[in-house]
Amino acid sequence: MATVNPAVVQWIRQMADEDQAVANYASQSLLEEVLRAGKPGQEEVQAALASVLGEALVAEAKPGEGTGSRGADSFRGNVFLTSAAHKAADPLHPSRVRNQLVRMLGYLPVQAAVPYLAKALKDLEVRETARQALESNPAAAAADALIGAMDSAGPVFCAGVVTSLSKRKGERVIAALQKAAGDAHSEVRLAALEALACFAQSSLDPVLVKATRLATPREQRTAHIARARLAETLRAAGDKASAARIYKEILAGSAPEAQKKAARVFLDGAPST
Amino acid sequence: MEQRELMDRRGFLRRTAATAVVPSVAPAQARPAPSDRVVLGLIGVGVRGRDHHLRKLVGNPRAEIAAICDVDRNHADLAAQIAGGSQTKRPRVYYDFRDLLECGDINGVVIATPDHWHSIIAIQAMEAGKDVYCEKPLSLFIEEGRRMVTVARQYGTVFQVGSQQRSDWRFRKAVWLVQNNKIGRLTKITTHLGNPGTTQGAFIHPGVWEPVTTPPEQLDWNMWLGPAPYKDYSPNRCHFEFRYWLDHSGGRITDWGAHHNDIAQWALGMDESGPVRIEGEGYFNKAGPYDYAGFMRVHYRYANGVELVCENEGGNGVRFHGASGWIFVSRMTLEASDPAILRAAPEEDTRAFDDRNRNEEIPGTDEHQNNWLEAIRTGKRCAAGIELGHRSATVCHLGNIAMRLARPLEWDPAREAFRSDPVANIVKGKPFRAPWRI
Repeated sequence: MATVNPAVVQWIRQMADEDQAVANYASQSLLEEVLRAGKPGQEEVQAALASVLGEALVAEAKPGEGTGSRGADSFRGNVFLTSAAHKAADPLHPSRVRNQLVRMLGYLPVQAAVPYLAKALKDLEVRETARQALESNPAAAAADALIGAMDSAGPVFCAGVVTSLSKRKGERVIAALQKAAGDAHSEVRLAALEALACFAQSSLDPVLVKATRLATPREQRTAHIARARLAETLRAAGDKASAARIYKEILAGSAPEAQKKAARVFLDGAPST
Repeated sequence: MEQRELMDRRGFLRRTAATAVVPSVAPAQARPAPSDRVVLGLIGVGVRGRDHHLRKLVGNPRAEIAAICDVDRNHADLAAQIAGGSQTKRPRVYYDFRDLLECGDINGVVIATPDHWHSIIAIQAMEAGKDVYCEKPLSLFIEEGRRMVTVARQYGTVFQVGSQQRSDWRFRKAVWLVQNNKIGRLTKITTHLGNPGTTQGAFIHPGVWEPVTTPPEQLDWNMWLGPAPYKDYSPNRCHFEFRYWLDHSGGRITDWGAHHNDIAQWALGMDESGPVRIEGEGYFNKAGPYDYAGFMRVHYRYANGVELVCENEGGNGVRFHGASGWIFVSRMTLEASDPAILRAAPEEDTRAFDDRNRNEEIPGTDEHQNNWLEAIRTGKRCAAGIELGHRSATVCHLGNIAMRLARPLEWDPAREAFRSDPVANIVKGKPFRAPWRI
């Protein structure tokens, strides 16, 4: 097992310091360490570092220890979040530090970081940062963790998860996104429409077509934009026939003028900037 | 670009005539009819948006400002007041850019927000059918820049990046001279990002610690942060000082580097490409809150063997080193190792640029705006189109990445990916805070 710079543990502790200068010095030093550990061929060092950061991230406070960051004040009176937080154990490090640790784990593209980030998806104070960190992690387990978080509370967070999944590949991902396209929350549905447009599969077009007809004006507009995006994705992947079919339908249908212009640019071969 | 083409003087003049040579103010008899004016919305009207875009556009007969937007209500209202004092119609005021983009009467938008907002607003504007003028640097991350290029091509958007030095006669002339071998074979370019008008480096300051405070009432702080990670409000994070935080900008190398490295890319004929190797030396001062590289020197190597050195020392400007001489160009001066070199530019070229923007606070701004407005009207290419703006911003981002990672990096400009460095490939993009996405 590769060894980690002993200063790392000290920096993590100092990151919680009330003196901003001390805390900042420690977090900047740790970030430097993380980024520089990312040298090709140093995967063992990265994994060891991920383990140290991850353990600090999920560490729980013993009685009388810790910073008590999950106090009621942290959630500014949100009854749901406050009661949910009281059911969880008190973390050793405050949310500010945990968010920094999560962000740094996102710079370590190793499998070892994933279990900690997956666990952090359940921590209301850091889950958004964890979602972003998992988006950057290439491991298949990172995609699994994101799919597992799709039913979490909060449409904004779930919309973020959907967007993160748009960068992945595979049938499981597409199935999850298709399900999200029928979510009860508009924010999630909109994200899902745009996410589906990132996959070069013309078979996804009917989902978008349906959204152009059934939903609210905002969703209709997003669906038209998503259709144009899908056409562009297909064109870029070499499926010009499918792209042309979609663009022709856009041109003939009720899409906004902007999407019709995009269709004309493609179909007429108009010069672009 | 092939050398044969670079040597073609007529070709160069054709290209320049098709881009930036548009009079700053149209003669009275040529005043466009209201129907020919481009109806604009201005998004982000802080110092740059207000004092350099609004104040110039408001008197421009080619444009009408129909709407203003800023998440700081004081900024938006002040801008509307300025515009209302000069136009017959007072512009509508918005505090959310999405509301402005829904206006069907607006043809184009000028985006002068902090960098972390550029890609989202520009892409949504293009998808709403608007043409776009977006301040430099085009992007905050390399991947979002490529996405912007894709959307601009898809929608046929007339897109101008705010690299107005491309419309400044000094830089245009310097590039012509270099491209036409007037200093012999180009061997090296140095871009100096220090203090303008001096030979000094940029002042390195790490910022001061401020207690977390409640955002001022007129500022929608969450909207100001947008896709950036959530941070509590502190005055030295927002407005002008956003450029010293890597969550919002890239420091000196994206602020001034976006201009001078853009000129280097242009002279190198690399508007659709970039360097292949980058090595950076940056000093990140941990004594204060700002996290940009206070001291910086980045060495870039291009496939043709030319070296570009970008540093925040030695004043401010671009120095071209050739086998038989040098040229130094800045917003205030154009010099050469031998004055005869400067006389080698074609006469008609010189006449076209004479005195055009001598008195401008930021030279080239008028020309650059007019170039965009003219391109919207005529369909001609812009002087600083989106692909070259993306490539120039990429050069700056590559420098920041190399400094942060502190190791030499191999870059594939065709694939826009680092060779064999997964961490570098993570850092070239960045997820947005939900629900923002592009």
